[in-house]
Amino acid sequence: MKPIRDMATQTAWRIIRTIFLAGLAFIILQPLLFMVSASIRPVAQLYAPGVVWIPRSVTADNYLSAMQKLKMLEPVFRNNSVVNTFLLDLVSALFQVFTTALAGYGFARFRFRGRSLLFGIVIMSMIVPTSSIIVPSYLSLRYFDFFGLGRLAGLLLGKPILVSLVDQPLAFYLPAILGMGIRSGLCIFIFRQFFRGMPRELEDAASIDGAGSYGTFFRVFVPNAAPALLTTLVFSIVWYWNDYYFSAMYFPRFLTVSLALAGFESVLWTDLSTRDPYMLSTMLQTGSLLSILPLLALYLVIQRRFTESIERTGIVG
Amino acid sequence: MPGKPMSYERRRRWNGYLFVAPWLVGALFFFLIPLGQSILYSISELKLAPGGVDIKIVGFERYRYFFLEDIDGTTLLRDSLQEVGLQTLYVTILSVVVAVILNQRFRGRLFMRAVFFLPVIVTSGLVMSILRGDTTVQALVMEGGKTSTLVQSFQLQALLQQVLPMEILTRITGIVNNIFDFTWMSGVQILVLLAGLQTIPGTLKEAARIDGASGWEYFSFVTLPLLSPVLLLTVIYSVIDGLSDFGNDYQQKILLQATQSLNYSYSSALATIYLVVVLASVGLLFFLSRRLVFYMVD
Repeated sequence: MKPIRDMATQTAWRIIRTIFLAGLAFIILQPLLFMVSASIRPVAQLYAPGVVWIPRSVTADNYLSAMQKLKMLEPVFRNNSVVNTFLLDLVSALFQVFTTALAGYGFARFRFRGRSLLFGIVIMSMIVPTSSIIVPSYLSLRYFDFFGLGRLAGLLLGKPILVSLVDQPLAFYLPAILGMGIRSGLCIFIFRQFFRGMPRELEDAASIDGAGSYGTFFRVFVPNAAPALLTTLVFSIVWYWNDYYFSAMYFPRFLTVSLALAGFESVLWTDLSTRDPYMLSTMLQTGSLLSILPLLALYLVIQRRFTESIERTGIVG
Repeated sequence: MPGKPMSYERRRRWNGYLFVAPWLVGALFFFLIPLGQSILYSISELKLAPGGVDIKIVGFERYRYFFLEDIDGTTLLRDSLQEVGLQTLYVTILSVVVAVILNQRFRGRLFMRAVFFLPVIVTSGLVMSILRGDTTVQALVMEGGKTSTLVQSFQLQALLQQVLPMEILTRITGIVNNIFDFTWMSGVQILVLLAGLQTIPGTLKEAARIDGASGWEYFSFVTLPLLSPVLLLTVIYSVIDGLSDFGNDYQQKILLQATQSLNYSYSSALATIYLVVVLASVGLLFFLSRRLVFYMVD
């Protein structure tokens, strides 16, 4: 290979690479930056000639108005979409991580009869589209029978004990704590891969020191599982935060941020003061930005550690 | 000592059940039973009754109707599958290229990584449609003012029309118009592929260079085979992601049948058909990949 040609191809590659990456990065950043820019400018400056990115003046009115309309400022906590979503999201995500960590550990470190069959069910639960079980799932929480006990009691009492979990956060917590929340299967998979890669000696040493299975898990494995815990927790928080379909199904009245955002446009149309298309567009941009702001903040804080964690969870190995 | 290890092993076996027990309860009540019920609903007459539904089995009428009469349904299914297939192909190619580049050393690499992982956190369909700018209001406003369309492809299209056959051309412009979606869909795949690339030891690159391999040869004979298990993972992820996307037309039909037509039975039948199709396609992927995936055995 001639060195000069080599250098030429390298330079060419470098240029192509830069253009390619810059183009794609633009595709990702442009709408987000435009969102920021549109949300802080007065409505009159949206698409005003001469204003593309940097507005002539800055205002917080859009934020105030959007937050009011998205019910983010309600003083009663149960009606406040942000409070609802934070609580729902964090509790569900923590429950989900807890149970899937247990299950992942069980699948990774113990031999028991039916293990591959059960793990097959985990894989199945990842593959089966939610829509194929959506009707019975809804009915099982609409007429919750305490896992059959309510109907059993019905045989004695003559009337089954059924509770509706619709509009109750429990409709999210219950599947999450039982490892069947949003994409729980993927979490179990990640934990299993991670725990499988840890050395056997850890267990033996703990066992010799007199720790039981749970002691070994909580005192030896969990403290060493930070990358897997962080990865699944962040993913779970993101999935629960962005969820719309389950929320729409189980929460006709209980308001979350994604539900408020879904109804945002019609709220804007019915309000005379925001009926103007420019106003609407600004409001939509501001509202969307508000709805992903917590996630963006989370991402900024943990970005470095998160990407390192994914590389170390062994999803890959 | 034959007695003692046995009991230790047995204890461990029971402990295994203990660890998976909470999940097992969930799997039973929130997955397996609903799955069975869904299939049962699809062959039954349903009546809403206090405390649930009344079921009377009527047979496979709905499946017959779907395959022989519901032209709309079969077309939607075929189109959705085709779309997911193509989408997976493009997303995979794009994410491999991006991951390989992000794995190289250049200035601003960390920043670029942070940018390309951003789509991982914006998975909300609603926010996406606003980012994409295709809500009605935005279209209304755009018409008058400045458009921020990325590719003004009309002139180019007219030029290409003279050299390329129409079918290829529409496909190309389709890709260009969808590049936004593909980039936004590739977050997780890029992340996982990059993680995979980092497990490939750097010594291999040295060895290949000494043997006189070009960059392209290194990529196709070393990187790609070593990456293939991860690649399979990302392909399957993309397929599942595409098929379980509530936005796709077939899923919309399933949901509409349940929520608007209140025809739970037909919705369940549609869902069961979909389930079989999804399982079959993932199974097929695994089967096809057996020859293509290379596992480094240590």
